[in-house]
Parts: sequence; C-alpha cells; structure tokens
Amino acid sequence: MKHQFIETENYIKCYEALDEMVSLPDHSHKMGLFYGEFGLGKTITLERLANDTGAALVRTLGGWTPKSMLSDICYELGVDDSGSTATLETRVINTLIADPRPIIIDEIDTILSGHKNEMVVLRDIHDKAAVPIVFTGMEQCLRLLRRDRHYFSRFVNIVKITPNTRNDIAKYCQSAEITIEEDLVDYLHTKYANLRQIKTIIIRLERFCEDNDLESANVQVLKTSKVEERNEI
Amino acid sequence: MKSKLTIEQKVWNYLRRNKKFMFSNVLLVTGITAPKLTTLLESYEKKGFIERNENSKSLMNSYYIVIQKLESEPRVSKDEIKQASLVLRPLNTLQRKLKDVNQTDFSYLFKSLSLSRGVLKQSLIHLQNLGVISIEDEGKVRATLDNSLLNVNALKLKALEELFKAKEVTKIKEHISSKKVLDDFAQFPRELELILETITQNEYLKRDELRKLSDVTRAELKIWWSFLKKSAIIIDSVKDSPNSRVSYILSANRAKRVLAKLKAGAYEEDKELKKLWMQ
Repeated sequence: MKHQFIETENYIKCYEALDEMVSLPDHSHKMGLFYGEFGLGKTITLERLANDTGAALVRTLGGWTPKSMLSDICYELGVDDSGSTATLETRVINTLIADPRPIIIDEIDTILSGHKNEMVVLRDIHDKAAVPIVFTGMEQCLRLLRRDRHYFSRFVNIVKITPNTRNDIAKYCQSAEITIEEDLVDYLHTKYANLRQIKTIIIRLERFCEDNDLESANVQVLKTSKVEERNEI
Repeated sequence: MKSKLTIEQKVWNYLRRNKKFMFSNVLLVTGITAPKLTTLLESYEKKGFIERNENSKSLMNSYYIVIQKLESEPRVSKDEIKQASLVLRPLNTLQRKLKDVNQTDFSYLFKSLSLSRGVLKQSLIHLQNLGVISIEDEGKVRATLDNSLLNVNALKLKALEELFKAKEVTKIKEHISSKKVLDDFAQFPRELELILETITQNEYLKRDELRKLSDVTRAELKIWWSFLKKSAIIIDSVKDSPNSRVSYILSANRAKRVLAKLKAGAYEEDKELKKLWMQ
C-alpha cells in the first residue's frame, strides 16, 4: 500500500473554508469551526492543512491557562515563549501582524468546558491581528459556542466533518497494490467509517492476494481471506 | 494560500509539533519522499534531536521521539543534507555526461559543464575513489583539467547510474566516505539472481519462504513473479490443506538454465526476457 495523503471531501471543504477566510478583508470577522465525530481523520486533515497552508496548529491541553496557551502559540510561531501573559499576548499579536498566518486550535472542547479565559485571549488575537482562527472539536462544540452569541457572531465558516464518502474510499483503494473491485469498495464504505480500519484490511488483503496469486480482490475474496475476523479478536 | 516553506522546514515543523511521531505519518502530512525523509531523520538522529524506537518492525511503522526542544528553524545549514547535495549533485551531473563522451577527449566535456573547477575536481576525485574513472597522470587529478586523459570503467559507471536512479543516496554517501570501489554493474537485477539461486536449491516453497530464503522484499519478488511463471520455473501450485497457504512446485533445472542465459547477457538484450518465456 502506497503511503500517500488522500484529499478527501472533508479535506477539500476545510481547505476551501480556510482559503476563503484568508482572503477576507482585514475588517471582517475570520473565525471558523470544523467539527465532527471522533475517528473521522480530523487531526491528520488538520496536520496536512497546516502543512499546506503554513497555518500555526496548536493542540489544547487540559491544564492550559491563558499563559500556557500563549506560550504554546509563541512556540508554534517560532518566537520567544517567555514573559508575562500580557507580554506573550502582545508578542503573538505583533508577530501575526508582521507575518499573518492562520491559527488552528485543535480539540477546542477542552477549553470550552472551563472558564473560557483562553477563548477571550483568542478573540483578542483575532480582533487585533486580523488573522483567521479556526477551532476544531467534537459535535457539541457548535452548541457550546452558540450559547455565547456575541462570540459566535465572529464565525464566518462552519464545516461539519462527515464520514468518508464512497468517492473518498474509492480514491483510497487506488493506493493499494492490488485492484480493489467496485463491490468491495461499496462494502468497505458501508461497513467501515474509518480509513485507518480500511488500511489494515487492505494491507492484510494484499498479503493474502500475494500468497494466493491473486491480482484483485472483491467481497468474495475478502470473506474467503477472513482478514476481518482478526479485527474482532 | 499555498505554503512557501521548504520541505525540510515542513518536516521540522511537524517534528516540533509532535514529540512522538511515526515515519509514515510524516510522509502523509508533508508529502516528502521516503528516501529523502530517511536521510533527514538520520541526520537529526546523529545530531541528537530525535531517537528512533528500536522495537520498530518496519521503516513505515517506526516510531521516533523528539528528545530536544527544537528551535523554529531546522538545523540543516551545514549538515549532511547540504553536504550531500554539494557532493552528489555535481557527481550525478558528471556521471550522466561521462556516458556520452569519447574516453580520451574530455576537454569539451569540462567546458560544457556548469561546474566550478573546484567542484569538478572534487567530483573527479570521488569518481576515481569509486573506481569509475582512472586518470592518466600518476593517478592524480591535474590542476588544469583541459588536457586530462581519463579512462572510464563502463560497468562501474553503470553501477553508479543505477544507484542514482534508485535514489540510493545513503549507499552512495557510504561509498564516498569510505572510499570504497563500486562493484561492477550486474548484467541483470541482483534480486532475480537471488531468487533463481534459491530455486536451484529448493523445488517446493511457499511464496513467503521463497522471499525469505532469497532475502528479497515482497515488492521485488512481485516484479519477477509473472516472469517465473512465464519462464516455466513455477510448474504448479498445491494447497496442503484448505486453510493453508499455496505452495509452489518449482523447477530447479529450469532456474539453472535461465540463470545461465541471464549471465550470458540475455537481460541486456531484452529487459522483458521474452526469449526465455515458454509457450
């Protein structure tokens, strides 16, 4: 199986949303939210998005305070991460004004459940530096953010991360060293939501096909190979 | 909105963000090629920035741990990557040119290359150490290259070309640093030779057994599998029990004959080896 990133429909939606926010004029609001259930590939999509766009990606931690959050953002921006909270905040804003980069905050659920002081600091950075800030998290994020209408009014793009489509899975199957037939693509799409699970199955199927001298695999081959059963051990 | 960062910077940023990371994830996120990533990670490991988990089963699944706080810029300015490109790039240019010239007339070749004299001289010394060229002046590269007479060892030049084609950067670097002479280019792929030699000694094997005994990868065996069938080296296949893997009945005699033909230059004549197929 080739190791290559598949531009899934979720990735394309997120990329387009971020691209649009970057091109908005300075005086417009530029906050975004990408949310969805676990296991849909959000984190790898964000890593790739940060890599492709040069965005600063920061993951929240349970023990975050406004200061430690700012320190992490400074580290990600490659500037000195020492000083008081106010110094760090000013440094982040000045750095982003001089060299604008979108900021992505992953797993926002962690700070939404607390006192939300970090959210206030992030709002200040957004307002002063006029850079897009994208939050990502689970389903309940949208509901929690909606409660604060004043804050929520800054959100211009909200993207729901959905389960991988059949098209995504078909694209993914093209990375296999064997031909994955259409009926098997349909089967994988119906049964597995997660590309990581599909990857394991395809790797095992490749081995089975190699041992049994097969060039392609369909549902019947999958059932004969019993590679799924090992998943249930 | 495309990022203007270099691929090294992208990898570096990924490492700064992920204190524990997997080789295949870096490939997925940054889009770097596996050989280049291997070289980069090797250099970071030597510098003590990261450490590879020794329990890793394969390259793709290998885990690394970042053991130092990483600065924002990658420390590659004077490291092996740059040095390697300084050595390997001109060497690659030169070896490609060497194929096309008359063995005794190099003056026009040197003029046509966009390499400085210092770099050219260094590349010639490397080629001399690799055994690709020999220089007719008591073995020294002359200060003035215009009238240098060089003899090219075609088989070693071909071997070097193949290494560049296969992007075996680490292997080339090892040869250069140890001043080890290259082996002559094998007239046919080494892995095929290994597979055939194994078959000459074993006539009943499972595919995985053949691969392990031949010391080739799955991908390498896969390339030659259809040839083994077409050339009738694989005679038949059987299953010991319904749930067991297929075992193959192989012809040692046929493998010996094919090996002899290959050693006689069959691969040079036709890369698909169609003459060896059995109708």
